[in-house]
Amino acid sequence: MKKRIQLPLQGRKVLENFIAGDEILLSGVIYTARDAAHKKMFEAGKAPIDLRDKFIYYTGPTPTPPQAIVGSCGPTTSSRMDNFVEFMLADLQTVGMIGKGKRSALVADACKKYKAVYFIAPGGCGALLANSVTKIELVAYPEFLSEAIYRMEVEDMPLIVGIDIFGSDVFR
Amino acid sequence: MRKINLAKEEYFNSLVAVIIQSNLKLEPETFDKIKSTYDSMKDLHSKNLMGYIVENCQVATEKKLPICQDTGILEVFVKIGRNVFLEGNLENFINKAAAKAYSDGYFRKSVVSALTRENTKTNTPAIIHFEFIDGDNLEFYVVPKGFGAENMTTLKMFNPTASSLDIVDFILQTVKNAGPNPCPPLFLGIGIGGTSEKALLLAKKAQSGLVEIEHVTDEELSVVDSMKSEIIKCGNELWIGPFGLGGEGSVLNVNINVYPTHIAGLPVAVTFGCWCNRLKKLVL
Repeated sequence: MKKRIQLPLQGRKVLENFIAGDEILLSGVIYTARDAAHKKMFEAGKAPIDLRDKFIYYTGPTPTPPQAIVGSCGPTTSSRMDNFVEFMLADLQTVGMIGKGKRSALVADACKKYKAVYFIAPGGCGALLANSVTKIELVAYPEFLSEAIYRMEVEDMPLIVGIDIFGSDVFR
Repeated sequence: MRKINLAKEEYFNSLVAVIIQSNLKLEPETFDKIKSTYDSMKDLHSKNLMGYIVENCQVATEKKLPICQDTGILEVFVKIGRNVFLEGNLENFINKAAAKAYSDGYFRKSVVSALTRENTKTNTPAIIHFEFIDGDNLEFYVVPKGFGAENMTTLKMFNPTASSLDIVDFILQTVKNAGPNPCPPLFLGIGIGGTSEKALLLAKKAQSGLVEIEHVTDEELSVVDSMKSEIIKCGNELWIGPFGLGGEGSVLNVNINVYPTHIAGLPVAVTFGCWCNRLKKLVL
């Protein structure tokens, strides 16, 4: 039985119900950012939009074909963003990350410390995940093309809890 | 001699179509490996996860969306018949076709300057390798290569006294270290011999199913076969599972290419193909 999460969260305490390994369905608004956007925000020391309590999805979608809502949009390897996690959680106060693969121990510690979570999307399943997206719009860094920050509305996006709010990691 | 004029529109359109298809649909034998692994899974957790992969391939075909959003940097292996007389610039022909395919297919342009990270906006240049074959065909093998898997590539220069057991151990350890990152279950390519870059090229071709046996002796072939079955068996026992979340389905296939090397060395390369190991062939 898959548990559901609706964004925005009614407080971070809600996340206590989701334990590493749980299969979940996520609905609501999330924001994309991957390598280039992370680097730019980190160097600027701020985000171009308010990301407080937001989920960040590590993805670079393919361009949207005509008559489609979105292109393929599966997760990219999360570990490349590990060094930015402290900044994203502590300074920008994001609440969650969505990506693929294992992370350094620092990320689990940071999740515990800042009451944040890491969710895993099925890797390589960009077409399937596109089915969960009901709307996409560019919000910042258009010069980064697929690596820009996009606002995505998702419905029942299939995910697995990778690191929960208690710092438990599905890979450890 | 057969003259092939690359200015012919039909040739160009065929290559564009093949590049587009390579990102939309897996080769039947690749999908069969995925589907038969899914069908044979006993562990429900693994089967559930593998189900996402099967469903994703179906959705991609139905909706004409790329199987994976990482539509890759395009690798093209070109085999030129020795009796072919080529008219035109083959590299330009390939790069123009790649640019058109990535634009028309609504594929991601992932190619950037290695130093400034500025996007070339065309997904070119492609990575092109040429070789000669007998006959009068011109063959293209197009491989969109995603970097989640590519980043896991490993090369080791063994001592010549290393055994095939040492090599298998190294490969298994490499697969274990990569864990979930290359999007398992995997298609592994192994290159043994040559020089450092030759081993990597052998591995990459093996990973794409381009296995070369012309210069391989029967004795070498039997070593290769036993290494291959050992890697598949032990690789799956690593219990990495779909997306690395633990379970059945870690290694879908392994191919090994070998080549003579120097008395002082033994290069071994491992390249990773994610479950979405893409390849399409065009023969002109």
